[in-house]
Amino acid sequence: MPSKIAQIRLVGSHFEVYEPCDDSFALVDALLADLTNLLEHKPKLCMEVGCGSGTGEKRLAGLVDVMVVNPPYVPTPEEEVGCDGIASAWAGGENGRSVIDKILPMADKLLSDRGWLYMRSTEEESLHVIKFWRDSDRLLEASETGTVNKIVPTRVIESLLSHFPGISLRRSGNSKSS
Amino acid sequence: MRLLTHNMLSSNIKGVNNGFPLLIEAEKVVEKLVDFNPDFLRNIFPKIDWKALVAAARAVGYGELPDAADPAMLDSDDFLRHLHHALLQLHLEEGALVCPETGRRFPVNKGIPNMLLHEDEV
Repeated sequence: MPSKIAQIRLVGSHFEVYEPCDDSFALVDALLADLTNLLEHKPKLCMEVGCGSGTGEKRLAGLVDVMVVNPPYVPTPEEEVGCDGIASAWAGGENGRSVIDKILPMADKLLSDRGWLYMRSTEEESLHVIKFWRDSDRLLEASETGTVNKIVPTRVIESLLSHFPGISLRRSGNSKSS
Repeated sequence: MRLLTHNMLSSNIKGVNNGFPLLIEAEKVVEKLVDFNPDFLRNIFPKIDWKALVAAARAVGYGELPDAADPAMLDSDDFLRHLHHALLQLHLEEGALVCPETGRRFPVNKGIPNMLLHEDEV
């Protein structure tokens, strides 16, 4: 039986970077699904955190209203995290959480009182986007579309509540919504 | 790189306490026209570090910003135009950003600042 090898298309501009696929689109879909809330939220400062963002943690502390993160989450040997090569784009360390565990406290510092954090994560092979906000942000209670179907993992920072609102969508199931 | 971006960047070298604002060494500055949006300017104003912006604007040769600013000035069309120009239209195309504490230079090429740290700086 001939072996089958998955073909991954690469972008034209870089020989190691693959085309945007489901995981990237999940983030876009989540933001679109939450568009009404985002518009009402009137964020003044939005931030996308990517590899090597030289962000000033102190300078922007408490100022960011919306933060979007697609962290590397693939379980890998710890030494691949933050390495020089392309692997750092996906390497998430032993349990896939090394980078995420660094991002959460950073987000806690950067986000304003009404700040929201959207983060890509995997949950049992499916694509999820998790939206975080602070306990004190009451505005969110107005959003009734969100069904909380997951208990908050206790490891997330205390002041942020993790919910899975209506924005936890698989790419494939989202084409008909909105 | 816009001065708005410069206003948000700081030197994250390990051990540096005050890496903001980065000094600007300007080799090439370009202007790119952007639609004037007063609402954006009023919204972003409270997030701006004014002293850093004034210093940055002067470093790229633009001296129209007052030393101090308060929100009342946002009613002035002149002030908004100057702010618009400084924040959004002036781009540091070639040069460097310099850490105020260590003097480490972060190069800016083709308008993109390279803030990546070396291994011994993390």
